[in-house]
Amino acid sequence: MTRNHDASTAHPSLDEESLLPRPTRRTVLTAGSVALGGAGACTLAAPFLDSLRRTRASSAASTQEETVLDISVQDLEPGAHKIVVWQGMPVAIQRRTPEMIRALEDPALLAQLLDPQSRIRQQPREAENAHRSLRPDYGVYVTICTHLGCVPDYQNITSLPASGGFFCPCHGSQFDGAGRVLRNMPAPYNLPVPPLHFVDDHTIRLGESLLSPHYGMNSIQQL
Amino acid sequence: MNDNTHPTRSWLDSRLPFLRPFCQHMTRFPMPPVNLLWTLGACLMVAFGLMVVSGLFLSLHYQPDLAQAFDSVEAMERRVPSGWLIRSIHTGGVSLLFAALYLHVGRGLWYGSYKAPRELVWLSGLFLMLLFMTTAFAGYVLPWGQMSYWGATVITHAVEAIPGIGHGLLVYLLGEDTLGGVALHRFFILHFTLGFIIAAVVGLHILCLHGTGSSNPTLDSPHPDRTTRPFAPFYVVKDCLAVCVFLALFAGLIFFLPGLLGKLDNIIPANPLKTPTDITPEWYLAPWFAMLRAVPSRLGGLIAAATSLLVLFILPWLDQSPRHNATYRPLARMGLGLFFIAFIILILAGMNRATPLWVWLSRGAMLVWFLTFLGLLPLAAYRERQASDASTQGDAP
Amino acid sequence: MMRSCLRPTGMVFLAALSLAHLPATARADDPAPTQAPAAAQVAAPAAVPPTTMRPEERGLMIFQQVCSSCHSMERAHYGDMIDLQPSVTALQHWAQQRHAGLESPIASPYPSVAVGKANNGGDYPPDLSHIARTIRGGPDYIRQMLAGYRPVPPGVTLAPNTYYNPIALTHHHRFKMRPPLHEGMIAFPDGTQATIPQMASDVTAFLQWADDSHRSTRHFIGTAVLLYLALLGGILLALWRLLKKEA
Repeated sequence: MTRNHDASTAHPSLDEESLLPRPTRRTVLTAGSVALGGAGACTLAAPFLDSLRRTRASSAASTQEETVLDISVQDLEPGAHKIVVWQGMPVAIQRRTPEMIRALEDPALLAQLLDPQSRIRQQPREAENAHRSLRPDYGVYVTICTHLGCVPDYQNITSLPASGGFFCPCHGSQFDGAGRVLRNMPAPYNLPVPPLHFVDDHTIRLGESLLSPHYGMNSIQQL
Repeated sequence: MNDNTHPTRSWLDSRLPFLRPFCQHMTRFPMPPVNLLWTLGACLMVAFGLMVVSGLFLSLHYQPDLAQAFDSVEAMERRVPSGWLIRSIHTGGVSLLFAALYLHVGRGLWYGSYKAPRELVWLSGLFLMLLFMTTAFAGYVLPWGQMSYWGATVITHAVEAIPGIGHGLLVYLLGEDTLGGVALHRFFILHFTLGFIIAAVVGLHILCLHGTGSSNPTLDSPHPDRTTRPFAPFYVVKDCLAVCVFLALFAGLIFFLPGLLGKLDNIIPANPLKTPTDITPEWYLAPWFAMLRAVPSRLGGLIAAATSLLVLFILPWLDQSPRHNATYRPLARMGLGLFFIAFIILILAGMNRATPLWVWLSRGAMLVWFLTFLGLLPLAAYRERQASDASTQGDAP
Repeated sequence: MMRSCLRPTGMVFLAALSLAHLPATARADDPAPTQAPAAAQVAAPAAVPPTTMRPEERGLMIFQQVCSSCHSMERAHYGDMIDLQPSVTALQHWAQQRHAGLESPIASPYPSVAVGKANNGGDYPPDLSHIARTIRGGPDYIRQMLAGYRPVPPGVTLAPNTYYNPIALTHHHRFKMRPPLHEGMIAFPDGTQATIPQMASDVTAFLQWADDSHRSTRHFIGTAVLLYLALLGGILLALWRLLKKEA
């Protein structure tokens, strides 16, 4: 080996010359079989990777799934809330008292919020208002934390005016009663508002927005 | 080539110092002038690799649950993307694997590869064969079709024949009085785990082989050839070529003749109340099934089947002749030739209905089996050793 | 956040997959190579009737309208028929009519085996999942038997709910399945005349497909694999002979 080493340092070009210019039949055949064999092995991986895909019928079915859900809110007293599941996501529906509505516009609260004016697209246009909902007396939010996807609890945040609020148990993100995240929280965005409209006074239809028909959970900033 | 200077190589060498000697050992490993039958080991490695990978991906979709097992297998065939392909690799691969395995063992027998100093290669190989048989049996239960259920029922009840503890052992192994969900789960875990145990034993088998080197089939011939070649590149290319042919057979089988492998009864879900008309194992387990049937007593059948494997384990000490290659040992040639025929007869007997003809044929085949290993080969060894003693004595003075 | 991290890796995977899988998908996922352009179907699956249909696609229609009123196909799901009926809505509609979903098995319409037997002269209509493989005589038998009903010859007496079929293997031609096919009973969208032999052959094609859906893909991949191995084997053989000579 030492001899080899010496030879190559002494005549580096000679070694290369003898190898490079004219490939022998043997090197061509070796390279060809290695390349072909490697390509075959890679192709063999295809069915195995393919098997991890979802089935055709289930992906076709999921695009056709019922996306619209009607929720009756007749049973909600002012100040009460309920959690429903829409498309596998928890959605909090709160009925606000006049005090809660007023608290949402409290300057002391707004000063603590990251995005008080709802500038980042986390809601349809018709909810980009002070109460972040279609009607001031109902707030509807997808309670999936915008940080890492945990589900925040519905509870009053003690440091805030009593507007209702959400607290994420995973990393302590806090949101006000309109789902707006406080400053210096792990969560970077407000809680999303799902597409919705009121069918009548006491029925909310989730999954369909009349004023922004193209708004959906795919059009929000982050989820 | 001069690889000392390559920075990646030297980086690796200083951090994985064993790598270079290992690679050098593998590439320079001296090979005697072996024939094409010595490529079966490489084919087995490839078949085993395909079995592990396909099995791993199938296990992602399999449910070891009485109610869902059959449906989960049907889902692989119908719904899982490419699932039918992966499953056909697995179910077809087992037949090819056993074909190569039995040929590999047969080659070892014919060329005396079990003899000193390769006893450990032979023993680890036989142990691998037992592991493969167990794994295949456990795997065949998993789809929980009629043949899975009844095959497993028949074979597990053979355990009951062990005097005294038989029934208790059976219930202990099944986890229940009858073959049911607990046993199915156990069979799944057994099948899954054995795959990795086999991988370890394969490593041991190759380690044993590389300790002593491959046997030389020409040594006993009139013109012994003691030249060796390094393993790379000649034998690497030869092995790859054989693997190519092997894979072509494999592809022909799974893509064009899938019906040759599957049993119709196994696309019917297991029904503990209805026994199929013909319970036959897959061909690779058929010889031992035939033995179980050929002996009138249940315990006797179990002992016969177990002994048939045991004689293979003690073969290195039954046949201590200095000569290896059966081609040049008339008695051993006859014995092994008869044994190979007997083995094929036992396969056919096990796959067919137990008519008197097949039962008597399998009895005859069993006789040949035991006579070859306990009679003919020791006799041949005795005579050959006497002859060689005589010749050395003749040479001495 | 997780998703955005995963995306690049996923893309590489998908790209490799689609590249490597091009020949297979061309056959396997294309609902009908002989059909009208695929784009037209994607745009309006229900509105544009296909101009040509594969036999197994017509067979599915027959199965939906005729066979499935007595027989089950337990091993298959309604959604599995997406290979023969690309309109998910149509499949969903069919499944809902039978109080099932896309991911439920095509179950027997009878609540129990006893009811099934009582409705069919004592024979339970067998499950059709693998009938093309398991039945004695195979697909040829099915095709001939379905078109094999004949008027009762003189001298043969039939029990009630029994039908004369000289091809049928059970009960000495006194078959318990009522003649399923009638001339013109189905209007095929591709204009094929619904004659009894035509429908018998179509439904047999469908049953073969139901038993072995990947047959054509399998043969295609098998041919490709064998060609590949022949090429690789040829190169290796040349290399081997060269090395043999060199040494």
